[in-house]
Formats: sequence, C-alpha cells, structure tokens
Amino acid sequence: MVGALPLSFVKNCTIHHSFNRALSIHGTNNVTIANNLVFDTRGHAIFIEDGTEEFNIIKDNAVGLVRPAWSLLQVDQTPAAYWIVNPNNVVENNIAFGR
Amino acid sequence: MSERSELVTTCAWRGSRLTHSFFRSSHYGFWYRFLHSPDGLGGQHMEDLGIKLCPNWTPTLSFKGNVAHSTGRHGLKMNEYFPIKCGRTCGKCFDREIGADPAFMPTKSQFDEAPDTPVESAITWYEDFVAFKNKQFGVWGEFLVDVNFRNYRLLDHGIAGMEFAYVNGKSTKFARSRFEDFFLVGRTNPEEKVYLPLFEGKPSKYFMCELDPNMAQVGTVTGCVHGLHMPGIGSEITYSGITFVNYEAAVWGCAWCVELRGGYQQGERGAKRSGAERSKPCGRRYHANIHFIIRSLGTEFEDITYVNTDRPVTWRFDTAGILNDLDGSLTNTVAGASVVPTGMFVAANPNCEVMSSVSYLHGMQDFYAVCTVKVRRTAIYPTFFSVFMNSQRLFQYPYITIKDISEHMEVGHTPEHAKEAYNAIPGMDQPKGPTSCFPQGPGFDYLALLPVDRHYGITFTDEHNIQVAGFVSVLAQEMTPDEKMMFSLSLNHPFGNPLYRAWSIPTEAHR
Repeated sequence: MVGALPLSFVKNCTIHHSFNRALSIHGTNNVTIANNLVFDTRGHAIFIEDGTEEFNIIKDNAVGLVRPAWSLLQVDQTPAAYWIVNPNNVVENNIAFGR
Repeated sequence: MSERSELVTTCAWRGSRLTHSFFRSSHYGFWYRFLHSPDGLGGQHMEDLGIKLCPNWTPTLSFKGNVAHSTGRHGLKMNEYFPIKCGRTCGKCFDREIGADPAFMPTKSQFDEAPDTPVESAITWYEDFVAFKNKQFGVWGEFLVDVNFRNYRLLDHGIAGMEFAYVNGKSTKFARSRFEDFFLVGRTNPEEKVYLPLFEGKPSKYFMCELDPNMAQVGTVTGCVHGLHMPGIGSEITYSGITFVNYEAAVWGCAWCVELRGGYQQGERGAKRSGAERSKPCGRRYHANIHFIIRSLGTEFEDITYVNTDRPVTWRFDTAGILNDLDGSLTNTVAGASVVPTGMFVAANPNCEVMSSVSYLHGMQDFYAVCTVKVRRTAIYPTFFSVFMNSQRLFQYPYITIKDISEHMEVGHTPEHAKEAYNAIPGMDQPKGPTSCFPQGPGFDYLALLPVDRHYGITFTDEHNIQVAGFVSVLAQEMTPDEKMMFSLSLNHPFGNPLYRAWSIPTEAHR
C-alpha cells in the first residue's frame, strides 16, 4: 500500500513451500517482479491484490506446483500461478509449469 | 540456456529430489479476472478519493511470451473483459491521460467534471502464448468483448485448445475479435490416451466424443479432443491462420450451449425491413414481417490448414452454429461456403452437401454439411389469434412445420400440387417452448438454419393437428440485400398464389 515504486524490485529470489501465496502486489504500482522461482505454494502464487495496482512489470518468472488454499480468499481454492485483476500491467515471458 | 530455462530445470530437479516424480499446479497458469471495480483496501482508498477505476474496461498493457503447461485445468483463463478507450477511468477521458502520462490520476473534481465519453473499442491483443499438457483447455474464457489473440501454440490439451463460453454476442456489433496464427495439436503422440472429463455416459446424435470413449477398439484417440470449441454465444469473430494437427474434428460447436440454446450469431434487428407478405386463404390470415439483419460478421474462418485431421467440425445439435468459410480453406471447397449442422433443410438443398463418415458410436453418421450458398439463422416470432387457441387452450405450444417447397412450387399450379404431394415433402416439426429455441433469437419462439435462395412453407398446428392462425415476424440474421428467401404462410397448403410462380423459373407447365 505504498503507491508508485519505480525503483523497487523483487528479482532472482526463490520462494517455496509457502502456505500463504508467494508474491503479493498490494496497492503498489511500477514495481518489477523478475527472474524469480516459485515452487510448491498454496493459494495464488504471484498475486495482484485489489485491482488498483498498475504499471507493474512481471516478467521472466517461473511458477510450479501451486496448490489450493482453504484459509484465504475463495478464489485461492482454485489458484493460479499468476493472478491478474488489473490488465494495466506488463506480464511477459513467464512460465507456469508442471511435469 | 536462458535464465528462465535454468530456473525450470532447477525446479524439476528439486521436485524429483522431493520424490515428486509427477507434479502439476492444481488449477490455472494465468488467470485474468478483470474486476468491475477495485476491491479491498485499495478499492476503499480510491472510493475515499472519489475516483473510479474500471479494470475490466482497461486496455491491457502487455501480455506476451508466456508459457503454461501441465496445469490441472487451463493454461490461461480470462473472465469478463471489455477494453475501451479511457476505460481505466471508467470511460472518462483526460488530456494528460491521453497524452504522455498514462498513469495520470485525476482529482475528484476533475473526475466529476469530466463528461462520459462514448464507448469506443480499444484494440487489445494477447500475444505469443504457449500451452501444453493442460488437463482441460489451453485457453478458456467467458464474457469477452473486443479482445484479440495472436500467435498461440496450444498442444496436448485435455479437452480442447481453446474454449470461450461467450465472445462478443448480443448487442456487440461494434466489436471485432480476431484469433490469428494459431498452431493447435491434439496429440503430439498419437498413441497417447485421452482424458475424458466431459463424457456424458450415453451416446446421442451429437456427441462430443465421436469415437470409442473407452479407447478400446479404435486406433485414433483424438476423437474427444478438439482444437477449438465455438462459443455458446459468439459473434464478430474471425479465425485466421489456424493450423490443426492430429484431430478427428478440428472444431466442436457449441460450447456451453444448454439444451438447444446458444450458438447464434447476433445481428442488428431492423437494419433493413421489407414490406409484409400477406396471404388470405379461406378468410384467415397470416401476416409476415420480414426483417433482414445485416452488419454482423458471425464466425469467419480464413487461411485454415489441416494436418492429419478428418473433418472441420462436429456439431452438437442441428442449430448449433454457422461457420463462414471466407477463402475455401475451411472446407476445401469454395470461398464463401457455409459449414452447418446436418438437418432437414441442408439435406434437401441442391447447394448443400452433407458430409458423412464412420462413427464408433453410430456407424455411418452425418457430421456436417457444406453449403455453397449462405445459411442464415432465421427466427420466427408468431403471435397467434386463432379462435381455437383462445377457446380450447390447446395452442400454448403449437408446432411449427417448415418445409422447403422450392421444387414443389417450380412446376406451377399443376396436379403435382395436390395436398398429398405437399404433405410428402419432409419438413421440420418443432414445438414452441424453451427446448425449441435460443434466448438470443428468439426466446420461447422458433428458430431454424435456412439456406438462402429457397422457398419455405410455414404452418402452425396444435397437438391435435388443427392449424393455428396468427401474425408472424421473421428475422433472417446477417442476410444481405443480394440474398433472398421466400416464406409462404398459409393455413392451407400454398397452391396457386402468383407470388410462388414469380419466385420460380417459368417452366413448360406454366406456359
């Protein structure tokens, strides 16, 4: 909930075995989420929260093994690797994978 | 190896180490769920500021180069999206926003003073997407208007490469959705078994799985997997540059139709209206208002390529849809052909050819028909005033009988026009009611797919075969001024009316 953060980023991180999503973008604009690996998490993994979030860059990430969560929002019971509620964001070159 | 590939490899290795010889995300890869308005704390904050944002009207900044594979449901899911210009601020345009500052946020007073601007489409593309081995669909969506897709590679889908429940549709004649450069592969390994989540248990004439659902007796396994599912409600759609590989039927129609409802192409009612055709046999009358609907595109195909694909389409029921073949590549026939379900009117039409092949479920089966003339979705709205209906209450659900009487009338007023000869013409009998029509056109009335340039006789009868009189409006959707249809609406069989002879080419019998 901090508004525009054009100089901020989350890059080259690994997030795994989380019980409450992986990366939530909440009330934040212009942030960069890049080159991250997310594996075996519950609820939506890379998650845009309210619909006010714009101009964020989500690129070159990989998300695998996303599981339902029963203690979050109802939509987290049918989770997505990338959950986007405002299209005014860049979503490029990401992978949602399984095997 | 790219950075992304390294990540995936690392994760797969880690998964194996954790004894997951097989893993997949439970549901979706990418889910665009466009909100009508922001929710949560952010939405409350915007509300406190007195500013409205409409994510579901906001043009997409960028979606390209993404990959989704081996998910439990769909690679890409989309809900309720209609991008328009200045949609970010709910249709109110501001100079700074239009100019160099797309992130401009107006103040409350600016927002309140800005006039509502007319709705204008914003061209939005979802590009360069790859989906494979997703358990249901590569791409699935609903309630999308004016959204375009380009350069998709969809392989090894559990049910279909792409399915949209509703695209454009009612009152969206301004919209235009294009699906360009799709490469669809049913099974990269033809020996692979197919997941059958929608197997309904009992065969019917139109069935999604044309082949042995148990895969026990047939060689191919692609019978239940299709490249594209046509929308249950869809219009203004163009499929261009689509390659289908390893399917039995490339297209299945229509998705999310309930009973016989759905699969229509929507036009604008009253774009051109002709005068009434009237006949007065035996003192009873039918009035017919013929509405020609134009300016609608329907569902178009061009530049279609098949590889190891048996046929273009399997239809779900007799009025499930019309595919327009712009360049002849969909049907391998002529440009402008229509691909429609098999039914009474195409079977009797010399301009239509019914295509049959062997079905495991039904033996030799008619799967679709190719008409070299246009086939129009024709809705019939009667208002009955028969005294029988009023007094005996027998006509709540009269049957409509439609017959192609073009050949019958061609020979003029001759003994061949005997009642017996007319009755011998095969026709479509259909009851009025929710199972006989579609809510879009029309609800609780009658509908048929009718090839143009033909003469049809329409009568209504009750359950005791007593004829019913009334007013009738006919809507032929997407009809163009150079096409014609004639409807004879009579309580008696259509004998001797000069209009009929004017329709047909004079023969020796006339002279």
